[in-house]
Amino acid sequence: MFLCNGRAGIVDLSTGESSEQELPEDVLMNASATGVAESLRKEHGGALVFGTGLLTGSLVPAACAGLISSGRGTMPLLGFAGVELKLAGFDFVVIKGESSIPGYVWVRDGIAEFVPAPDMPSMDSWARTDRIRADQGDRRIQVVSSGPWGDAQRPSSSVSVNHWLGEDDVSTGAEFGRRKLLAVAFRGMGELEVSDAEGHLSASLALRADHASRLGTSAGLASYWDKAADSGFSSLLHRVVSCFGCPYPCRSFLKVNEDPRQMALSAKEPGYMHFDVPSLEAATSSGMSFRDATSAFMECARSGADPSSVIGSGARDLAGVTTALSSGSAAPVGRSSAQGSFRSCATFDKCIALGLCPRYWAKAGLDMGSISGCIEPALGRGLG
Amino acid sequence: MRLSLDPLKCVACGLCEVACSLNRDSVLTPMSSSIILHVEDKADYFGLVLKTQDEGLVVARPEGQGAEQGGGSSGPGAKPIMLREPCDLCGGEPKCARICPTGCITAVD
Repeated sequence: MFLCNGRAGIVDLSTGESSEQELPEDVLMNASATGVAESLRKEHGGALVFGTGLLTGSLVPAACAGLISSGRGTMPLLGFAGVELKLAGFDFVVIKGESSIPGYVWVRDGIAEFVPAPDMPSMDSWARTDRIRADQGDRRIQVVSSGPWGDAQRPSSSVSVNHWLGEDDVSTGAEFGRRKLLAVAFRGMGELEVSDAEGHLSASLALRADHASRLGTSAGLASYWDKAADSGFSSLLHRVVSCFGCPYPCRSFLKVNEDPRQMALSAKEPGYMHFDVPSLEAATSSGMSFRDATSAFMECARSGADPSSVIGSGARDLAGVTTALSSGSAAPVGRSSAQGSFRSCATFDKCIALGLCPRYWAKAGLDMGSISGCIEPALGRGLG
Repeated sequence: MRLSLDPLKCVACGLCEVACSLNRDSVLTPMSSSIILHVEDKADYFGLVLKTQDEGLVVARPEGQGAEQGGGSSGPGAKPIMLREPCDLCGGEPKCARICPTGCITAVD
């Protein structure tokens, strides 16, 4: 089966038991990832479902996306998380039931299991990520983590992907908290077979070259959000960072705890990776500097709190954010239609269904004919 | 021919790793590549480690490049680069250089 694993991992938090479920090839080839996830969610009693698209992990430009589906909605999963999930041996991971003790789900090498971690609730989101990577012995483990706000099932909670917020616009953190699920971690050491390697590579590079001729070179978030071209933002810019396979990245890392021009590894937590446009809009609208916004987002990420909601609830400066995070008070702000959100991209649903970044493809222009030309050599057949 | 690495141009997209394995085994995976993306994501520190036939490991750090022995994995959970095949330049047309979107990896004579 090309570009797919043909199976879902099932973890029952109520019993701690794991199992597998075969996924027929025709379903994976022809159905959307969103549709398969929703079907699995219903089949397993309202489960939390992590999923990948048919194209996730391929050489099609920006084929980085996965998803998390819960009763609260479906959020995109970007960066390297979707790809690592697929390379871990599953197209989908179903997490059902509720645990009696806190812990995390660990997925690798075709194994998905619940790991009890009774001491972890005292940790913030960043500490959970660091702890799981240290315990499992790999710095590239992808960790989707709730924080204290998710544990408390606050409606304005947000899961972080590794250390960064911006993808969860449906309060998935609260869904984690309801299940005593602290994190889901995965590392992909498997492989995806392709039918015609050179054909897939050549077609993907040709499509990328066409995009590059129109888009030019990315300046990071400034290429997607005009305010990031402001000197207050660019003076803090350390590097531009890509999700898997993206030739025109939207992620800009700002350093506030050391010189942004510093290249050597020195400060352990020097700053924050910005791509969360709605939260940056909220921060700048409230008069917050990019320096303070960066510090505020770091605090929100540790807590597992949506910065848009925290700032939108009246925290006008860094001190206000700190106070709001301590008190736990922030009414949820509807991010779904927020300007600059991933979901605001016109082809969001189609991109997530396939495993493509909606932001990149909104910029490049989603053209299913071109995508089919890229993916058919990999699949050895046409897109369904 | 050899590969030249300019780590300051790297955006950590990971395409070099999968292109390497695609050439070697016709599969997409970062686990059998001769080139490894080294990432410390919380500190936004990343660079490349290349296993060569003649120079050993070439470590392209953002603060400067050099050759060294040992290391070169993301931790004990991943396959260390010393256990991988060295770069064979894909027989004359290195796929990592071909797919790198930023010019971080180039083939030079």
